Amino acid sequence: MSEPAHLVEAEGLSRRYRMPRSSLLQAAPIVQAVDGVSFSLAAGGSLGVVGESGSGKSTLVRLVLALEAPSAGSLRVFGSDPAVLNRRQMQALRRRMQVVFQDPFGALDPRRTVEWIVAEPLGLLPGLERDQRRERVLNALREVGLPANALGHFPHEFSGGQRQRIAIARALVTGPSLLVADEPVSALDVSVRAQVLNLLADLRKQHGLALLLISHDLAVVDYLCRDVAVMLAGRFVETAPTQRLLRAPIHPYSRRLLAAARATGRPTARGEGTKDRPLSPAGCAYALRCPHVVEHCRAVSPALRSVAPGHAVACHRAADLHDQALSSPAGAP
Amino acid sequence: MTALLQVEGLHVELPGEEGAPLLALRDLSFAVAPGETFGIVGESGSGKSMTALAVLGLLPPQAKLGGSVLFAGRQLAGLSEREFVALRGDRIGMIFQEPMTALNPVHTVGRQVAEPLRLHRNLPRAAAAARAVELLGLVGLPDPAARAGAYPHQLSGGQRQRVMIAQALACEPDLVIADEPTTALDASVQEQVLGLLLDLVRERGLALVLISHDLTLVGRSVDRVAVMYAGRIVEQGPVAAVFDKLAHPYSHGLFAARPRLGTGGDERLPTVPGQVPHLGAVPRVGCSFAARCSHARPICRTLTPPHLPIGAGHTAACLRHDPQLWGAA
Repeated sequence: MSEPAHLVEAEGLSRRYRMPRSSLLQAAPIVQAVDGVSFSLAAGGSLGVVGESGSGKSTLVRLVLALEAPSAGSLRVFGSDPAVLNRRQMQALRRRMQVVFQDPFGALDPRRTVEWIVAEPLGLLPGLERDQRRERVLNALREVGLPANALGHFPHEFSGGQRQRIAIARALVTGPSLLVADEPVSALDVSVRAQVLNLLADLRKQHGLALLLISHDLAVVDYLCRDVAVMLAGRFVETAPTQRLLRAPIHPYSRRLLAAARATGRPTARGEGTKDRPLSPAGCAYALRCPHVVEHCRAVSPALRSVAPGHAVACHRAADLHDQALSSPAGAP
Repeated sequence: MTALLQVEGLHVELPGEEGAPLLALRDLSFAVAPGETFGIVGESGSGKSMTALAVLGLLPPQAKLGGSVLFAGRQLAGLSEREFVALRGDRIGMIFQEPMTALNPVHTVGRQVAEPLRLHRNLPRAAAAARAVELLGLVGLPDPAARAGAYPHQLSGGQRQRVMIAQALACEPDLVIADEPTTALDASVQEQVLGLLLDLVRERGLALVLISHDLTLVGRSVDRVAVMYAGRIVEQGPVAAVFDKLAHPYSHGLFAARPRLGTGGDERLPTVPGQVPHLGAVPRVGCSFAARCSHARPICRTLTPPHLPIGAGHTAACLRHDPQLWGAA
């Protein structure tokens, strides 16, 4: 298969869930976990989706991996819509798109050896001889810095960082061109986290691997991704080259995330609080907490609009805040 | 100044799988004064949570404890479970990481905040319930009277952690031990909840032991800090002094490797090679960190480093700070 220019193209991608209803007389409430998200990821590109818990970022990953079907919108992965692929085509797709999850404990089958675990995705590559399979597994282990004698061992014999390396080896073994990583270092200790981040950065450079990264941590996105999307209540509220977002964030929510990441001095109880958000709010999802809110924000949901090449913001006050962002230091409220 | 909590030479041994006992805590000494905030930082397996459990009398029954834990002049090592029950939730408040498991899912949060008041203060049900509503208001829960009737699953993660704080403070303890109290929360909520805890502790003149893997957050929150590695304190002192002059190679590595903004992608992150050893793999003598340390010399593997003075109240367990020994090594 030839490589299309864009490995992932999403247009108005949405996923709704029906919540349990609280009373028989009421309609079941619907929560819009992903709400009209559009983006594209080029071959060799890197996009970090950053947001807090409940923002819909993990649902977005499940949609891209075709683990769930979108409720609305269109999705093309390697040029085709996963929903219409037959089994064989789906296997070809999975070979080119691999995933690393957050929890290296839950992601590896405890009853299987490292060799079995790392080799498993090779089932997607039919016709490999036994020694070719082993050669591939050994190569993948070498790439992630694990010794060849790891082959016969079981996951519980390894530390968290080593288990995440096994998970990454497993993702690399089919020679994918896209890696999807959902909080790949969040469960790791600080001293080990830096090792795994360096490994992911090296693999990206050496293989030209495209990366779709999900993280709550802007520092991780900063390190691994050229572009960033800030997600809130199922929507992308700001998309920009990562360095530009760090320098001049526009959306008040992006600014809040940056301020939290850069905070110094004693933690303070002040702040906007975590006011309860209705499941399907009218208007902007950030209006309840936003220091720049105007009446219009509560009525009309703002669309993502371009403010500069590669930089788009979903905020009615983007123009005022843009001017302010250019004249004041990043992250200032 | 007399210490409220004085831990001296604390050892904890756990039975190992192959007969040899595992040393979970080794020769731990620290003191916390009334009104002081003390941070314990370490990675998983460092023994920081074990330290909290040892002080609170919550170690597994097969654990062997040695050394001394003085709380307000009273020896806690060797107290019976009954005596600990009388102390926990009364003079010593506890806050744990995961409020979804630490709170009882089948009781309302109001009842759970009232519980220590009923147990330790013998307050009648109505008085305890009224006080619980006051406490829920104090920790910033909106509409506390209504929220007191809510069950834990009906609250957000941040709200549940506020309930834990209310419960810990209910009996106006002298000491609060908080183990990763905000780790499960989003960064901006974490900031507020920890800020609230610090405000309440300061207003009441309580002592706080804050345990966390997050060096930056602890550094921003406490007066003094201890860094733990493989069951030992490797460095401790006033926060400003320690951060200004990280004297143990492990604290230094931990500080350099912490994730932060502005690395921009092209430079490699500094790392600490290797990983935290399993308890069974920690050598009995010598420095526990020697196997990962770029400064290590043969003497580090044969001599257990004492806590050497670095500055006022600042010590590090690293032989590099003993000029005579290091010069000769």
